[in-house]
This record gives sequence, C-alpha cells and structure tokens, in this order.
Amino acid sequence: MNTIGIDFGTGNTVLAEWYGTQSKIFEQVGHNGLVCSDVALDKNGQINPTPVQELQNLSEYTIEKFIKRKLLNALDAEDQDAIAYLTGLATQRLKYVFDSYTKATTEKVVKAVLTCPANTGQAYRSVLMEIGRQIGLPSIDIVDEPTAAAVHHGLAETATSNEKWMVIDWGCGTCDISMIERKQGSKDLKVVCVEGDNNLGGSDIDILLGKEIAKKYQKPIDAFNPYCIEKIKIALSSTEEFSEDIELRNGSTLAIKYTRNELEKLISPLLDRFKALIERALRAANWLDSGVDKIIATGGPILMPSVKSIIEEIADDSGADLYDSDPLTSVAKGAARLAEIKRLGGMVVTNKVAKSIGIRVANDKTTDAYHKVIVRGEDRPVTRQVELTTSVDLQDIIEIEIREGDNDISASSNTLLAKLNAVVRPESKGNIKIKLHIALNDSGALEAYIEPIFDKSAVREIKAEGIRLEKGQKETATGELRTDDPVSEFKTQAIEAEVDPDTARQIYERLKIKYHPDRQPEKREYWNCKLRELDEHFNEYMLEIEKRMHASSVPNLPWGNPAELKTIIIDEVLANRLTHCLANNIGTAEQIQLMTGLLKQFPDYRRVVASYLFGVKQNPILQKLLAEDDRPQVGTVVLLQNVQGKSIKERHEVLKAVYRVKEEKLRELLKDDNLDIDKLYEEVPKLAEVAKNPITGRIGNPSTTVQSGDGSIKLTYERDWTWIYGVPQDSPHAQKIIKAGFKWSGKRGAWFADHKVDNKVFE
Amino acid sequence: MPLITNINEAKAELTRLIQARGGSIEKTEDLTLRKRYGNFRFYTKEGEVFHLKFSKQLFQPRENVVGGAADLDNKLKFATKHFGNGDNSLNGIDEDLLVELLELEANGYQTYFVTVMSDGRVLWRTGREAYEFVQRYDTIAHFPRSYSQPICYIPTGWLVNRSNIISNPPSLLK
Repeated sequence: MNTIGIDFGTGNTVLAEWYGTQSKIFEQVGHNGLVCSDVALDKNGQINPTPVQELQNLSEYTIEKFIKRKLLNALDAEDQDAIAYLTGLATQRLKYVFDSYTKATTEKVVKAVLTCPANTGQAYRSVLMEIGRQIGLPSIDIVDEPTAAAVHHGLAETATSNEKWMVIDWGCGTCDISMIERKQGSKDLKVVCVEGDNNLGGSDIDILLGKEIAKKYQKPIDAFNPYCIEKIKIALSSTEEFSEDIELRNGSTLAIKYTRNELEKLISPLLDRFKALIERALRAANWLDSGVDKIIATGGPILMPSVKSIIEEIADDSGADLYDSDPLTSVAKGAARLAEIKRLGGMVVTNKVAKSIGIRVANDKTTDAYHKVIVRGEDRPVTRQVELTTSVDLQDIIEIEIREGDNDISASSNTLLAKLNAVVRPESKGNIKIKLHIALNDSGALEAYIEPIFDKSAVREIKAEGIRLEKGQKETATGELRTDDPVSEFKTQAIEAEVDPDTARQIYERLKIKYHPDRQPEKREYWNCKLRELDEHFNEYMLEIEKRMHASSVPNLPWGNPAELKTIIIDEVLANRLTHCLANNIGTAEQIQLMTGLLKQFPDYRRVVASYLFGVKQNPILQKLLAEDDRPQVGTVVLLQNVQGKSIKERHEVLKAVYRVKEEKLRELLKDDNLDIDKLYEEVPKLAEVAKNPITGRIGNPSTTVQSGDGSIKLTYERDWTWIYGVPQDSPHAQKIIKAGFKWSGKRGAWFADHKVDNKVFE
Repeated sequence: MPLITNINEAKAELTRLIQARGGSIEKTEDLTLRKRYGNFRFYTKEGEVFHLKFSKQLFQPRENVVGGAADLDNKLKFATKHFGNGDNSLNGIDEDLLVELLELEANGYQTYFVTVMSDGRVLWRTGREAYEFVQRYDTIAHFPRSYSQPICYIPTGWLVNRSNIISNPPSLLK
C-alpha cells in the first residue's frame, strides 16, 4: 500500500511517495521528477501529454503555459469556458504523471494528497478534488502548499516547545506565507494566518526579464523560444553574468549578455512586494515583536540570491532557524508524508479559511443579497448552519447558491461554488423551513446538506450542481405520506400560519386520518401517542383563538381619514380583526359604523364572519350581520360545514338543502337569540323544499349513486333507469348483475336496467 | 395557436409539473371509463390526488336570462364578479366527482382540482376549497339540460395559475 503526494504547480508538477520512513520523488518522469506543468497542443488542437521538455521541435506545437495561474484567474472571473478548458489541460498533466507512477509501481495507492496555494479559496480546491477523482486518485485530501512544505521540514514530529513557524512558499505562479503554531508536546498544527499574492510568482520575473531582453536587443518578445528566458533567470542564480548565444524561433542565434545586478534591479518592485507580504503576515499573526522560531522557504525563486538574502536577513533578525533545502520538491515530499500521516491518523491540521463562504438570499429589496455563513479567517475544518425559508408564496424550488468571496454588495459579485435546488411542497411563503449545513472538511472538500425543520416531508428532492451531497443524503428523497410527527405538520400548517378556526379544524381532521393508527398497526401505540399530542395542540390552538377573540384591540387603520379608509382593499387578516372588533363591540361608535362597510370590501367576508361565529357559537351582532346580508345562505353553509361528526354525503345533502329553505326563514333562524348550530343542521333539511327543476318543474335528482350491501357494486339511478359503471363484462360480478335484470350497453360501456333496481338485490 | 391541443398533451403537461415539483405518479385513473370524458386522476406517492380536466373553451353565464334558469345565472354572475378577478368564465366539474375528492381527502389524500387550458395555463385549487366554494355560493347546476349529472362551477379567475415552476432564492429565518 502506497501513499502519495502531488504538487501541481504553475511551473512543475511533482509526485512523491512515502517510502518506508521518508518521502521519495518519483523520478521516472520529466527532469528528475520535475514535470513541466505546461501542456503542448498539436496543430489539430489535440493535447500531447508528454512533458514539454521531452518534445522535439517545439515550434510545431502551441504551448499552454501557466495553466494553474490561469485557472485561478478564470475561477475568480467565473469564466466557465476557460475553467472547463484549463481544467481539461490540468487533468491531462496530472493524469500523465499519475499513470506513469502506477505503471512503474506494483503497490496499490490508498491515499493521495494534492496541494494548493494557501491563499486560494474553495473554488480551486473543489476543482482540484474533481480532477483527482477523474484521474482515479483514491481517498483525496487537499492540503495547503506551505503546510506540506513545513511537514517535510519536520513539523510532523512532536514539538519540544511552543513553536512559531513561518513558511514562505514562492512558486512559479503564487507567493504564500503561512504562519503555523504548535504547542509543546503536540503534533497538531494550527495555521494562525495566511497571506498571499496570487500574482506574484517566478513567471512574473520571467515576463519582466523577457520584456527587458527583447527591448535591449530590439526583438519582438515572441521571437524568443519558450523557456529560453527562464534559462537565463536560472543561470543567473548560480553565476554573476549570463553570456551565451541563444537560438531564436526563426532559427537564427542571438548573443545575450545579462548580469545578475541588472536582474536584481529589474525585479526590485517584485522583491518589495515580497517583503511587504512577509511583514503583513507577521503583523496579521501578531508576531512582529515576538518573532518566529523557524522559517521554511520553498519554491523556485527562493534559489535566487536576492530572494535568499531577504529571507536570511529576516531569519537573522528574529533569530530563527532557516530551512530552505529541496525548494522544488519539498511541497510534494511533505504532501506524501502528510498522506501517510492522514492514512494512519493521529495528527490534526487546522487551517484558515482563505475566503468567506456564503449564500444568495432574498430580502425585501433584492433577490441577490449575500449572507456569509463561514467567515474568512475561521479555522477549518468548520461546519456552520443557517435556517432558511421560502421567499415567495407557493414556491416550488428553493435555489441555494453557495458562493465564495467577501464582497458584501451582492451575491453575484462573489464566485459561485455550487448550487443546491431543494424541491419543496408549495405553500405560503415562510411556511417551509429548512436548515442548510455547510462544511469545509479536513480533506479540503466542501460539503453541504439540507435538512427540513419540523416537517420532514417538506423537502421532496434535492438537485445538486458542483457539489457532492454528503452524509449519505440521497438526491431524491421520496416524499413520505407519513412524517414522524403530525404535530409539527399541524404547527406549520395551522399554528404558524395563524389560520382561522374553520381551516384549523380542516387541517386537524385531515391529519387525524392521515396518521390513523390503523394504517400502521404494528406501531399503534406510537401513533396513538402522537395523535393524543395532536389533540392537545389542536385544543390549545382553539383556546388561543378564543382568547384572541376576547382581546380588545382595534386594528391600526386611518380612522381619521374616512376617504382613505374606504379605499383600503382589505385582506383576510384584516377581515378577521374587523369581525373580532364588531363581535365584541370594540372601538368608538364611529369606528364600528365604518367597520361593516370596510369588512364588506373583502369578497369572502361572509365566510370569515360565519367562521368566527362558529367559534363563539352565539353572537347577536354577527348573527344580525349574516341574517341581514343579501346572501344569508353563505353564512349558513359555513356554519353547517363546521358541524362535527357527520358523513360527507350527509353533510353534502344538508348543505345543498340550505338553498332550498325560504330566505326569510333562514334569516329568522340566523337571528335567533338561542342559535344552536347543531340544531340548525337538523332543521335545515326539514325546512327545505323538494328539489325541483326550475325549467321543467320536474322533481328529484337526475342521478344518485348507491352502493350494494357488500360494497362491490355501485348503482347509479338516472330518471327511472339504473346503471352500473366500472364493472366490465368479464368481471366475476357479471353473472349476478345479469341475474338482477341488467343488460350490457356497449355504447356506454356499462350495465343497464330500464327500471329502478334496489341495491339490496345484491346482498 | 393553442399550446395544448388535447387531453393527452394536458396529461403530459401535468405529469411534467408534478415531477418538476418533486412528486412521483403512482397510478393514473382514467375517468373516461366512467364516461367522464376529459377527466383523469393522478395519484402520487406523496399522497396527493390531482383531478385533471382539459378545457379549450370555458362556460360563461349568459347576459339576460329570464325564467327558471335566471336564479342560477345570477349566482354564477355573482361568483365571477366577486371572485373571478376580471375573468368572466367558469370551470365545471361533475358534482359527484367533486364529492369523491372530498372522500379521498377523508382517506388522508391531499386533493387538487386542476384544469389545463389550451393556452398553456394550469389552474388549480385544492379539492376542498373548490367544494366549499360551490357549496357556499351554490354555483351548482342541479338540473343541467344536456347532462345527467349536476355540475359544479368555479370561477376561472379564482383558480391559481401554476403553469410555471416558482423558483427563488431563500429568505433568512429571523
């Protein structure tokens, strides 16, 4: 079993394996294991994965340079095309290195660590993780490059005293400073702070030098072969003067003479930025006065004498030990060592979150507000949660965009990391409540999952883009008819929505049936208990409503301005409040007078009033209001709809009968001081006239349906005929239907008898 | 040019909407077998029943009706005036089918009365809401001339158009 570390740098890609007691570079690829990260594309645009330094006749290829840096910039700019293209190139490079390694070894790789600049956010880490998965790396962890270099230089040993380490990682594309702290007797690392510049790398020195030499020798910059400028820079690290003929792209040669002094003068602005970065890191860690114990330096530019002298000066000033061996391979070696440590366990690496992570939310003013969930500078691994709800009525999908950045102006100005679309039950806004968990885990991955609050059936499905759902959360959570908790369902639908007594009763009745213990007899005890709880909550809520009905507040309305008052289009909440005030004679005489007119602006006010009346059983004012209304039937129907313990069919007939009672009689019944709604339910069918066709004057229903005694057959009576629908000719009931005198009607596809057949025939 | 031309396209549209909203259809009941042409019921695994009706042209109360039918027409006009939100038309469903939706609710199902219009609108209300509306305002043709079943009428403008998926970012819970 092998563990490996891969450092994918802007300049080189290096793979190291843990070999017994130390890290070893895989040297069978590239130049002693250093594989140029640039990728060559042939004239057809096809990628040639062979390292650029091994290709003959480079002029036949287009070289894609600085892939990692370009990828980082594309991620910042959210340039999706560039991200896809550069990710493809990076994948090819890493695949080439990893495939070469797997061919050369007989051992199975069980753990891999990939490295990334400390100052990069989650977007790059997620891309790197995905590349690792694509090329077949097992159990991937992402680690900061400075941390890996520090581990290579001994940070994995147990600390003998409290230690402060400064790790300088100046690579080809980026420059990062990590301040790491360890407590005496512990192996665990804590990154105190990270400072970095993603546009300060060895390649920036190459660009400056290239322009300068082109200017000096009056040649266009593209006249030079790729990498010849880099060769001059590397040579000047070991000699004071470079004096050689170099071959140009057109085949001619050019004699170049350039000194180290000239180079140092040229790059002095970059060196100043480097010094400022170190100072910023010391200040951020609050170590300017106390200094550091050890300094680790890694990366190509560290080999330049001018850079080295800056670092040595800082080490001398603070009395720190300097470790700067293996600057080109220490990150990969440290990564391999970390892979082994992580495989075995026993060491905790606490990093800092480089960029805040937040979500897009809607508020009163915009749908593009940014809410930070994990804030820059927090320790990672970290898990944070945020409670969310729907922002519009009947919302089907809650779109959750997880973004990275610190721009508070708008969500879209930060980098999109992932999307989670939660398909929820459509309800009024604010009813559906979910909890979003976002985690940056130890392996460097971003995890997120959604959990409904209270009602587990509220979230039906989760669609994820750019993120893997963790903690075993399935993408499609099949909605359950039964949730674990009818009480929470009642709370969400009734209590929190502050519904009227009529609606509350409907919800309660539906839940009683939905969670009836007979539906799951093996858990009868459990469901009985839950339904008792539901009863309690329902009764409490009804008491609460009753209390509210006896409160004595007047709605906050512009009473002083009757003209304005009359223009208010009232809603149901206001209609309820006005009904309450009218019922309890709350307000001045003038206000009460205005209330009725205002209430009647709400089209369904009769239902609101009747529903309130049902709650208080009797109220002379409301009774008078309903009785004197132009449609007294509406209020009566609502009152009778609320009578408990009646079958649907029976109630249906009673409600229909309301419109057949003489209007005057109905008004009289409603006005009755001793109104008894249950008694009214009994009275209405008796007082109703017989249903009569208003045009023909014919009596009776055109069609009624009854069931046979055993429930197997439904008989439908139309005029004097009887029909049986839904029973095919080859049904087992066919014989007894024929015996009862029915014939098959092919036209209707039903059984027919030309007389009224008693349902008892089938008993 | 109508977007939806027949009941099969209406079924496809409602299926798409149910699935997009996270529902999965368990069974379909074709009410044509009971001679209720253009009526289907979709039962979902989530315990919902969608009663589908496809409509190309809706019924509108007539202007000047005298005699026995005037009472019903007045009731229908009242319903469209106060609840139609500017739409004069009405949507019909057989009385017994609507009562069946209530019976399904009594068995723990959440029922919806859905009308797919040829112009692509998908209008709906819960079965109970629809039933209670027609009972309150007596918008029932108890003795329809050309049909044996009483028909319940619901103002089209009172139904909620849900032909598009409503997708939005969340709000923070205070």
